[in-house]
Amino acid sequence: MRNKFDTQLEALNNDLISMGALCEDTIACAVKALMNNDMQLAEKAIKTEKEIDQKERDIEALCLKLLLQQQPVAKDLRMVSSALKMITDMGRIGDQAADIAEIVTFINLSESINNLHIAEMAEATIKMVTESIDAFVKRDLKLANSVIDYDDVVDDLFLKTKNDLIYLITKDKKYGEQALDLLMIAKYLERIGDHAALIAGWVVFSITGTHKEI
Amino acid sequence: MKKKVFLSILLSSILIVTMSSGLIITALYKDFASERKKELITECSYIASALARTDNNYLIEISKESSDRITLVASNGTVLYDSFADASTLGNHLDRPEIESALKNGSGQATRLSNTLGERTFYYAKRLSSGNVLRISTTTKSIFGIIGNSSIIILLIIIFAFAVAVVVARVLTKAIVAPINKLNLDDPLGNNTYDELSNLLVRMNKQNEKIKEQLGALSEKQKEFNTITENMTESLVIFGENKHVLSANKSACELFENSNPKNIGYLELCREQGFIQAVESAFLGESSISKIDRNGKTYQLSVNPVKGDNSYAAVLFAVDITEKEQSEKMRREFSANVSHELKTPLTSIMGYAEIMQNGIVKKDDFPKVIDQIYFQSKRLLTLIEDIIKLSRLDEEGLKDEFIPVDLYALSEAVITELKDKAEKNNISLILEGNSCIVNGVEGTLHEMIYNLCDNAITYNKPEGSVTVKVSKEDNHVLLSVKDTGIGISLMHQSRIFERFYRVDKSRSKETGGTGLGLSIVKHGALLHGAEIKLDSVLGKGTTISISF
Repeated sequence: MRNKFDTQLEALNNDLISMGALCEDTIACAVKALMNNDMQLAEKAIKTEKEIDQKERDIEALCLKLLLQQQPVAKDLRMVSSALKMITDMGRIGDQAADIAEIVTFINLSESINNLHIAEMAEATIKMVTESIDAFVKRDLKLANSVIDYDDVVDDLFLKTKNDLIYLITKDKKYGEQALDLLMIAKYLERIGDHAALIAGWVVFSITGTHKEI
Repeated sequence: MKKKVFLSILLSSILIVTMSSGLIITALYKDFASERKKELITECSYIASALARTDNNYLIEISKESSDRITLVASNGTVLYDSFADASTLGNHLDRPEIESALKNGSGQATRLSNTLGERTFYYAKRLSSGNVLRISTTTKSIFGIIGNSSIIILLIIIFAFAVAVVVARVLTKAIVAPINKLNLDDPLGNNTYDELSNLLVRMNKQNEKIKEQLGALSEKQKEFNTITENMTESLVIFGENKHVLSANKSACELFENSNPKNIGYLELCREQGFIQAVESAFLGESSISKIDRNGKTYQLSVNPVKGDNSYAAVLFAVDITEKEQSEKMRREFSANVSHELKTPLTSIMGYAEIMQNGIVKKDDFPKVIDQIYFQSKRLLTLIEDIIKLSRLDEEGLKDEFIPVDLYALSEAVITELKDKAEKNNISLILEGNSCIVNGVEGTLHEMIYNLCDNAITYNKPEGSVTVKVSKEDNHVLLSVKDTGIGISLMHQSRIFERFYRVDKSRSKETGGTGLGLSIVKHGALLHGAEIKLDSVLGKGTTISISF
C-alpha cells in the first residue's frame, strides 16, 4: 500500500517537472518567435500550450486520487496540495505564453522591438520560470526565495518598457498599433513573472509548511 | 551449539553426581552395618562372660548404660529379662530364628525390618553356659530411613551440586566454544584450533582466495570502464529501470551541470524537450536521436533502450556537434555562394551570346556586347582562379616551396602594379619601412599583399591614402596596410574573412571583386603561421596587420 503511494507521489513529481519543462519550452518558443518573427515557433508555442492544458487535467486527477485514496498527511499532504495550486500557475504561464505567440502571428514586431527593454524583460521572465521549476526540482528554499525577490526586477522592467512605448508613440504615430501590442506582451510577461513567483511560493510552502506573503 | 554443549555437560554432570553419591551411600551404609554387627557380637560376648561370673542384677546395671536392647531368654523360650520392656508381657521367643539357632548352635543372628520400613533391627543371640540365651539387638535406620531422615540436607546438597554444575558447565562451554568464536576467518589457516575444524578452514581458505581473485578481476574491469568513460569527451549517462540515473561520467556531469547526479530522476537531470522526448521513447523501447542546445553549444543525444526483465533501462550518449553544425552551415553557405557567383557571369555571357545568335544585336552594338562578354569571362576566370588558389592554400604541400622572401621588395612591386588603379581613384600609395626577410611562398605572399592593397584602394574615399608598412618588431616581421577608407562596422568585422562574405550584400558590380580576396589572405597567413589583426573604425579607415 505504502509502496504504491510512493510510486504515485513520484509520478506526481515527474508530471509536475515535465509540465514545468513544457512551460519553459512554450515561453522560450514564444519569446524566440517574437524576437525573430518566426511563425513556426509561434505555432509550436500555441500547440505546446494545449499539451500543458492536458497535463494540468492529468495532474489534477492524480492529485485528487491521491487525496481520496491515500489520505496523505504532513509533508505528503503539503506536496499534493501545493501541486494542485502550482499547476494552476503553470497553466496560466502556458496560456500567457501562447497569447504572446498569438500576437506574434498577427503582427511583425521584430523591428520595433530592438531598442526596447522587452528583450531584457523576456530574458528575466524566462529566468524566473526556469529557476522556479529548478527550485521545485531540487527542493531549494534559497533559490525559491530568490525567485520571489526577482519579481521586482521584472516589475521594474515592465515600467521601463511602458516608458519606452510611450516615447515610441510620441515620436511617431505610425507605431501606435505595434506599441499597444507590445504593451500587451509586456503585461503578459509581467504576469508570467508573477506566476513564477507564485510557483516559488508554493515550493516554499511544500518545504516549510508556511506560506510566504508575495 | 553453545546451548547444546552446555546442556550435555550439565546433564552428564548431574547424572554422575547422582549416581556416584547413590553408590557411595550404599557402600558406606553396608560398611557401617557390618561394623555395627561386629560391635554387637563383641558386646554380647562381653556381657555373656560377665553374666557367667555375676547374677542377673548385672544385666539391669549394664542395660542402663547400653543403648542396645538386652534380652535374656530361658531355654524354653520364656523371656527372663528385657531391658526395653517388662519381661512378663513378652511372649515365648522360641520361634525367633536367632534364639532357635543359638539354642542349637551356640549363637545366632537375624535381621528384621520393622513395620515402618524405615528401621532395621539386628539381633545377635548367644547361649550361655547356664542354658539361657542372651540376645542383644540394635536398631539402625535402613538406607531409606537415612535418606528420608536427612532429606533436607540431601536436597540442599543436590541444589548446591546443581548450581555448581550449572556454573561449571557454563564455564566449560565457554572455554570449548571460545576457540571457535575466536577464529580469524580472514586468515583461516592462521588459526590454531581444533583439528576437527581444519577441513572446514582449508576449504574456507580456498574459497576466500577464489573470492578475492574474482573481486580483483571485477574491480579491475570496473576501473578500466571508469577510466574509459571518465576520460572521454562524450557524455555518457546510464538510466536504471526506475528512470533514475545509475551512473554518469565526468563530461555528463559538466553537460548537465550536476556534480553528483546519481540516483536522481531523469527529469531532474535536464528539462529540455529534446532530452525528455528521447529518454522517454527509450524507456518505451525505441532508440532515438535528438539535438539540444545547452550552455551555448549544440549536442546530439542518442538514447538507446536496454531490455530489462519487463521494462527498459536506457543509455544516453551525448556528443558536442557545435563545430560540426557550424562547418556544415558554412559549407552550405559556401556551395550556395559558389554556384551563385559562378552562375552570374555565365548567365550574362549566355544572354549576350543568345541575342547575338538570334541576330537581334545591331552591328554597331557588337563591340559593346563583345566587351561585356570579355569582361564577364574575365570575371569568371578570376573567380575560378581564386577558388583554385584557395583550395591550393588548404593543402599542406605548399610548405615545401618555402624560400626567403623580402616583404619590402614584394610590397614595392605590388604598389607599382596598382599605381594606375590608385591614380584613377585619386589615392596616394605610401610605402614605409625597410627590407625584411621572411620564409614563405613568394606567389602567395604577393597575392596576400596585392589583395590587401587592392581592397584598401577599392574601399577608399577619394583623395584618400594607403600606407603599406614593413617593419621588424621583436622577433616578428610586421606588415600592415592602412587606409583612410569607409571602414568596416563591428557587426561585419568577425565575418569578412569568410569565403564570399560581402559587407555590401548587393555585390555591386561597381567595385567588382570575387569576395574571396580576404579569405585568400587569411588562408595565406595560416599557411605561413602568421597572425592577422583587424583594426577598423566605420567611416575612418581600416588597418590590417599581419605579423609573421
